[in-house]
Amino acid sequence: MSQDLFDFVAEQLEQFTALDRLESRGTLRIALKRAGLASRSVDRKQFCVILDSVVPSELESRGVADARAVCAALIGRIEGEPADRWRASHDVDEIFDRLAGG
Amino acid sequence: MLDGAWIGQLTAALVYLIVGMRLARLASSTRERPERLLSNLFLFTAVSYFLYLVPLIIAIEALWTPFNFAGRVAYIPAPIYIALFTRDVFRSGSRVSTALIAATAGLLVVGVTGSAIRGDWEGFSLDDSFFWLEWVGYTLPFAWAGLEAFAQYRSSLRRRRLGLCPQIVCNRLLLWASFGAIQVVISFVALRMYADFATENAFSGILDRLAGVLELISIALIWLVFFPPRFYRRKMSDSEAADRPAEEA
Repeated sequence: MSQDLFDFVAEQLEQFTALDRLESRGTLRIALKRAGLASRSVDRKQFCVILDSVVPSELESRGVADARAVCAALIGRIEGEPADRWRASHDVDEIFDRLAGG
Repeated sequence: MLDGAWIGQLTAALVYLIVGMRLARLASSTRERPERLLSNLFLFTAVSYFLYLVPLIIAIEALWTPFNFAGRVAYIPAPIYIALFTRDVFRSGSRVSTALIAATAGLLVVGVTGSAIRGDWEGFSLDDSFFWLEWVGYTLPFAWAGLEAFAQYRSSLRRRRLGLCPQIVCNRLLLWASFGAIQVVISFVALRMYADFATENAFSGILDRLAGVLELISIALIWLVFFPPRFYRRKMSDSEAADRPAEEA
């Protein structure tokens, strides 16, 4: 489930940095919001994109050293998990994409 | 309704019928609920519109009241289906949304039944409290759909900048939001028309034509959402391509 993916990434972020649980979850939520995504529906591909493009600046602003390397490691952790570990939840974009395909 | 002014409604009925059938076919192949809900929305709307139009097209005044009432009854499921779609797509698992859907159904059923019991079969009496229950019941779900789609459109712009949402999907969310907004405007225009009918025993020509134009705009929006023509798809992909160098720079 997508919430599990969010929890998984937040836990990994805690391990890689000095951020506590609240800070790591808050940082990720802010990054997701900046990217127009929600923690309950984000999928692994989307998470990897924001870890590459949005999260580094959020971590830097919180004083995390070597934020890019941390994010690269997080992407590696996500990609190292089985593809079916997190079932994609319903996605608004996918639904609206599909509706024109009848 | 004036001579010729019903053409907008007839065109809308035909388009909604075609869109409903196409979505039913899509739903039978994908087995997904959102397309099934929208298919039902458009099919019930089309049936309702046809029922309203029958006495106008064959010009038999005696049929006006029974067919108007049948049109009102046939329309009851439509706002419920759009509310279900909105909850499933934008507010999955929300209890407040489920309560809103139940309230919508209640308002529509009580509104139509209550006004019929009081003898207002056409549902034109603004001084009858049941009229207002029905009016809120069919206006609120479209307002909700429009607001949710607009909020999602705004966040889709952020996703688009990261390459996570295609331009055409972003635009489709805006079109759907606009469709919801126009349905709300049509509801307000209808209010004014009913008020005029109560005093003049006739619909205002200007408002009748305005309602027709709004229906035509709705049709255009629905057509772009569900039958995106080649020129529109090209425009969307051109716009996406034009943004790419700027994003990469």
